[in-house]
Amino acid sequence: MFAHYHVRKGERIEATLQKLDIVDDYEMIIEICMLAGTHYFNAALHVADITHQMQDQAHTFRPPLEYLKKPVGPEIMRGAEPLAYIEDTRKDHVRGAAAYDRALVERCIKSLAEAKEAFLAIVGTAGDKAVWEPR
Amino acid sequence: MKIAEHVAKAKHFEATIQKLDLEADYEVINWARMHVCSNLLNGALHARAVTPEDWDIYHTWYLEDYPDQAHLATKLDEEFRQVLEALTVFESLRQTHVRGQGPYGPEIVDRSKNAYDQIKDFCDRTIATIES
Repeated sequence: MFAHYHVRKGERIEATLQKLDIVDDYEMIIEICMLAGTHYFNAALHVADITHQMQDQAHTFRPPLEYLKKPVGPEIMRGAEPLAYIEDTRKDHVRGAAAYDRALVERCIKSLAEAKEAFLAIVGTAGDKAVWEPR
Repeated sequence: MKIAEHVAKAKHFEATIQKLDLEADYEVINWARMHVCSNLLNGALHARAVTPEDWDIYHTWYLEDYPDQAHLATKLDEEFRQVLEALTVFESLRQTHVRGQGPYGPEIVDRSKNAYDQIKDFCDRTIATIES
């Protein structure tokens, strides 16, 4: 998928966060942080020419980063590390029955912001809306 | 996870879905429905002793890793196989419409809702048999 489509999709998914409550909807807040962050991650990987636009990562670890055609540098890792934090919380707090932890959910939201800032710095104007693109 | 924990988790996701708009939030709705359905399916799998409570699936293909395939072959009847098939609707939609840019339209809402209703109806009935 083109980088600017990833940015748009990430923004669409992230917009849903505004409708959710940090206590009542925490599982989907974590999921939204992961989904939106992964779109920004893919956009950055495409723009940095580490992955082709037809090859998207589902997660920071799938497929493993060492499988990619070029090494992932520190600029990408600055966003991948907070994204990996979000991914790590899912097993116990989204799929599992771990007790609610407000600090953890807040850290996921903060991690998305950090990841987004790092990834969009790489994407630059390649993330801008095209003259024509699908809704 | 215990059946009651799966049911509670499913209800939590369902409550979130109620706050969302079918068009503006369709990606998140599809993702949340997948969680509702996988939790309810785990509850039904445990209720029918297909899988134990310490062996959960998050996607249909996890069943291919289940250590006792002969047990699965015996315990999964045709109806159960059909509802598991319905979960693949969400597994497909997430690729095309959440991770991908598949165009949104009413048919997407219908496919997602039909699969959701089918899984929920079956699982609610199945889980109720052990709760009553």
